[in-house]
Amino acid sequence: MTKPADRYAGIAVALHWVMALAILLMLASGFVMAFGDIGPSLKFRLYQWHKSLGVLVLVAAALRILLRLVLKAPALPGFMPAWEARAAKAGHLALYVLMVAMPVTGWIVVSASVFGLPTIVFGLFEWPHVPGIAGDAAVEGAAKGAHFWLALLMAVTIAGHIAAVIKHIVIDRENILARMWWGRGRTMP
Amino acid sequence: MKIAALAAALALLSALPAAAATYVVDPARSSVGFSGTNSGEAFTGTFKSWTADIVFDPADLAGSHLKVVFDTASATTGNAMYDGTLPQADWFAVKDYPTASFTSTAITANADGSYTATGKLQIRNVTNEVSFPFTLSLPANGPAEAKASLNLNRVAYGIGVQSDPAGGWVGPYIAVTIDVVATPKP
Repeated sequence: MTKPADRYAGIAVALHWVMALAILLMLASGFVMAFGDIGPSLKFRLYQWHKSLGVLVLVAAALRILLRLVLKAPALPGFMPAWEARAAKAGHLALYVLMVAMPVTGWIVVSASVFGLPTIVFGLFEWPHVPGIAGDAAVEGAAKGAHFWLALLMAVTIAGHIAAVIKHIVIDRENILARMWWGRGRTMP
Repeated sequence: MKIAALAAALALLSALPAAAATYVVDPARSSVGFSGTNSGEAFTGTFKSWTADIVFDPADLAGSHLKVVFDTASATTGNAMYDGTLPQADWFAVKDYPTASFTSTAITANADGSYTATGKLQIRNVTNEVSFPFTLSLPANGPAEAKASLNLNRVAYGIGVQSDPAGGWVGPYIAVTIDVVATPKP
């Protein structure tokens, strides 16, 4: 018996894993850019690459939220106690907010930067700046601070997300990961 | 004999009209280029649009002068990111300063046959005196060609001073290469 609401839709699964990889690359490159001891040439390239991937993450996040509203997520599995269900919902909401807030604050930083470097997405096409804030150091500073603290919050939220999956598999002995993978049939007996 | 020939030559020179020739630039064969570094990597570019008023006579350097006006929006590197940055407020600020210019105040001859041009170079709202040597070939037939190169400190002209005054990304020194082919106005 196939229970249709048991797992996420195939397209949602694809977006989840592509974005998971992209977001991890964004966090890693972001921390390397901020704290890494790398030469200016590599740093400059990394900045441009980070900006390009950030644009794609923003577009993917918009698409994903749209899908989530249209397709609906499967109900949380019944074995979870109420507090876990609440934490899961809050965590997922935080991840959705962050996957939009991170690229948007980054976009504001780039747009307000006095440097004025355009964003050429992977050298292919120009992504416009947020209008009206060019060279505004106050806006740039505020957005920079937000981008940094939101990155830390995102890293913590992702760690919690992964810890919850491990907890369900190891302690609850429920193969919850199957909900976020392609397949047929019920994910849990 | 030699003295007689020299005297004849001088007599001939003095018989020529004293007015220095006005030259017309051949834009297809002339170029004004610039190069520098960003994050340690070299970039080069050119000014696609500029005009020059050249009045020159090697025998009348006091009466010779040149004025070159550059269209700052025409600076092109071929790199979309740099080309998107150059016109902006902290760089060439093309909206406020659509042109940059060089106006000579003196042209002097050097012992090695080259010349030195001294004048006022205006970029953005900054005008500094610069002096640079140039070589000149003046064939009897065909156009004249002048070549020069000079190093400019962009910070001294207020270029990129908010973004990167220390030159951590964009090197402070910009090399300018000039190659002008011009023919005397008939």
